[in-house]
Amino acid sequence: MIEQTDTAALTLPPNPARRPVYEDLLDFLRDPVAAVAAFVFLVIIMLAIAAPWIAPQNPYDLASLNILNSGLPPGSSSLTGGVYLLGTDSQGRDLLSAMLYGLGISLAVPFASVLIALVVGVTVGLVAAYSGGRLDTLLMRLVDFQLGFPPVLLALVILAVSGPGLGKTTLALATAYWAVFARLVRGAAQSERQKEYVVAARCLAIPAHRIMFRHILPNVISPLIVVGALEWGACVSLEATLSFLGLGSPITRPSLGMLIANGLSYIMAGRYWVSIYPGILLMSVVLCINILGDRLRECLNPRFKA
Amino acid sequence: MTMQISATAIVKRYGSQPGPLTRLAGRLNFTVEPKLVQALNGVSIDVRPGEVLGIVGESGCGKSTLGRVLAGLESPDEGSLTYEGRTLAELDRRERKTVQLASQVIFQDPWASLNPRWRIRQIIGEAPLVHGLVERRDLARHVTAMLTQVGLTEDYLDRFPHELSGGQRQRVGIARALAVSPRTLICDESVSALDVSIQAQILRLFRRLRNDLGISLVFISHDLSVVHNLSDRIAVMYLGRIVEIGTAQQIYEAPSHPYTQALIADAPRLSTQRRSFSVIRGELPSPYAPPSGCAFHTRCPKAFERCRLDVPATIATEPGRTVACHLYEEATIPA
Repeated sequence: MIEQTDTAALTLPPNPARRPVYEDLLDFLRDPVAAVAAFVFLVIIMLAIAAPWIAPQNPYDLASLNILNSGLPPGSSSLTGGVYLLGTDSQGRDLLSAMLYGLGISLAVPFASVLIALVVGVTVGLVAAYSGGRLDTLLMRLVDFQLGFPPVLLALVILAVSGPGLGKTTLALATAYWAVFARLVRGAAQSERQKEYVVAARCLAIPAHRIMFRHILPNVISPLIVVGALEWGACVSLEATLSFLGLGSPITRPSLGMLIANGLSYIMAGRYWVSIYPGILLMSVVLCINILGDRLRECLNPRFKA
Repeated sequence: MTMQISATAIVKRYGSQPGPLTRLAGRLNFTVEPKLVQALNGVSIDVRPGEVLGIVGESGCGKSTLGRVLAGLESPDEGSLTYEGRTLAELDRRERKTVQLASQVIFQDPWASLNPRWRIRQIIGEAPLVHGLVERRDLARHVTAMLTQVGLTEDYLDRFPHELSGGQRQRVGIARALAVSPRTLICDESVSALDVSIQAQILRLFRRLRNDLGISLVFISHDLSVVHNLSDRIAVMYLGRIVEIGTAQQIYEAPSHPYTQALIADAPRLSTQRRSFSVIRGELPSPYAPPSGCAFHTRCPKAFERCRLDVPATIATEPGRTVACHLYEEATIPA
């Protein structure tokens, strides 16, 4: 024997310098398309947050509207002297202000829905994967049933029954999307569950909820982030669709989808701007989210890395 | 002597009974793959306090399943298990947890057995904290003591598993098990994934833990030389049964069962420079359809008519030594 000790040669490997966060960020932005999308999205978010301060008019304050200003083309001056950069709608609302306020709703409502769907889906998926057996079968058949419905149809039915409203829309969207997360988590967690660190935790009599949420969840989180981001984009479209159909946001607090719907009847009358500008904004939002989500997937999945 | 763990006639099956559709397909003369595996087929074994019990056998012989059953990770379908003389049924919830913690597993793959997202401090400290064995303020000291126990230092506390080498990770895995003060360590191929030099270090560590702490070791391996090196007693398994149990010396120097004899003959040694190997004929039979009678008769050079028909009983040929083979049935010593 060369060495007679069992504690031999345990030189600690040098502590690899922790990769600073900004390097990951730089890596993310190396793709020019993603960089542009990130910039545009940042601007959009800031506009949405700053809406109450930068909007020329409060579109929710009906007293400030004047019907005489209705249907003005972009660039017109109002009776009170201001300029309507993007024109006004049929109620005489400044379209730019309405869009800035609507933007917030179009982003926040789907974001909240995705968060709720994430919490519900992750819990269901983890419980199904961890417990296995009949409970797993039951939960996954429920997920299959749910995924069999087109999300639009499901959300429509829920809103048709409950009536419109921001809170109800949020819940309807969450109901339409939780199953996606449940299935994703269940698949990933099932393969994690077989791994020895989970078996070791079971052997150490660690309670099941701790194994699910503290051991398994952190190891399945990266696909969740990616799908969560992409679902957010899909959810923005769906919310716009619902509002377009008159079932999402209330008419007094229009989201982008509702603004598009409001303008629809005037397009043929030549007032294209009422629908087109909110439409362009909505498209940019969804496009940015999708590009960023895709880029996130490339960065988080080493297999995509060149 | 109260046994640390005592297993009697353990049967463990995997897979499911054929469902209605499968049975229908079978009736319509479609060939249906059998789905039930008898991983353990009436295994009885004792783990004595402070001993090193080696379990050897080819892959698929059920040795890992036996380890998981002994560790309380799988419940046997038949047979009984007692821990320090008591069955699980007679214990309350709290005592059951104590019994569960008393047997810990050291795994084969040091890359998969540590949670990649956790620091060493959390990995080792979680169980003692969750079970209230250590106060939170004493945790760092406890974890450091465990690290010292396995030959690591407190510099490792805040490392992630991916920063460590295979041998260091295996030590962390051992420290994690030791942190709940187990009475038995079940080492399932615990050194098979390591380099030979690291293997020797880890084996010395196991021996030291046994000597210093009086922990029993169940050492499961396909590598007879490793098992022989460490064990007091050795059990040889074949297709879900134990074919022979004896002291390491008995098994290695005078193997009784033809299967053990073939295993020993196959093991490379320095002393004998043999050129030809009497390799065991054929493959391990499918555990889905084990042979009739003695499971080894398809490959046994000494098989005779009776081996195809009857399952050999386990008989004691010498004190502390049992063998399951028809060749030895006359040699039974009176109990």
